[in-house]
Amino acid sequence: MVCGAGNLSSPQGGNISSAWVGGVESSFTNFVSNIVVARLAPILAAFCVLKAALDAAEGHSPLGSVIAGIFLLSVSGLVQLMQSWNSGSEFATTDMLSSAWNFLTGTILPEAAGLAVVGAIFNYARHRPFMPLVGAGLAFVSVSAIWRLCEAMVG
Amino acid sequence: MNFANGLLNLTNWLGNVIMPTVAGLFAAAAIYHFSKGRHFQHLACAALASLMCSGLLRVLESFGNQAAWNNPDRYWISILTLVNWVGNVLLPLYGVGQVVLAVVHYAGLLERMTIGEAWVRNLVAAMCCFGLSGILRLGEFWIQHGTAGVP
Repeated sequence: MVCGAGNLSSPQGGNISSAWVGGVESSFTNFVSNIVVARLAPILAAFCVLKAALDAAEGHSPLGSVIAGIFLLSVSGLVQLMQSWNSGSEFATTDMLSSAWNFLTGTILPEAAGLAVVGAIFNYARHRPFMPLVGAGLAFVSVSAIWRLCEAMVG
Repeated sequence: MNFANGLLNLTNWLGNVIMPTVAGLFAAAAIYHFSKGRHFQHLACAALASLMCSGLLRVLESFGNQAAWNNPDRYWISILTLVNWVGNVLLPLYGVGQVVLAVVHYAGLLERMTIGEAWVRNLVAAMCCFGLSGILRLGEFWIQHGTAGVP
């Protein structure tokens, strides 16, 4: 059935009247919840931890793999967080992006500043450049202001 | 589970658990380099910085909080504050250290550290080896009693 103008103007509640489609939805939901989120993601996170150890053994930074593991372990919480960002309006996409930007600048980057300080100390001890990490740490705690600076430069 | 909490706990674990532990390793390496007559100040500073990891982050945050979050000059002000801090706090402290070194050099003590008979260096290195734990406790004491200087 092709959706007509009347269908588009009515609010979409997401209800499924067909039993067959409802069964498909239930199977897919169970697959995502019980297989992907509950079992597959923790296993992949464990492999990320193993990869972090192997990265460190090769002399590379293990941080990327550790953060990927944390991301995989918290994927259900992230989904709920993103669902809370969905305004449901015609601007839902841009609202999501705006909320993601605020989450990044207000929550994630100040924590990343702490990782930058740790990395700077390690680089200093190993005679590697550490000032870029100090500058990045400063930028992480003031990235909104840098955005305002760009806006002021353009405007 | 929350990604932000995971990242926060990772940062806290690295800064408050791992770095103070690694400080002992840096201090031991500094003592070894000192006993061989090599430059050891770099590793000694790294050990002190590892103990001060949390305080250094607070310093960066205080540099970044000198202006409102939407102030376009905030990054410039934070770099300006960093420069002022280096110029007005760190360099005078470094200057005091240089004055002390000048007096010690004039007294001829450091000649026994680097050239000729190195018995002073060996003696100090042995004392540091026996008292590494005490040196770390001393560094922690300085840092715990220096938190009043962090704005």
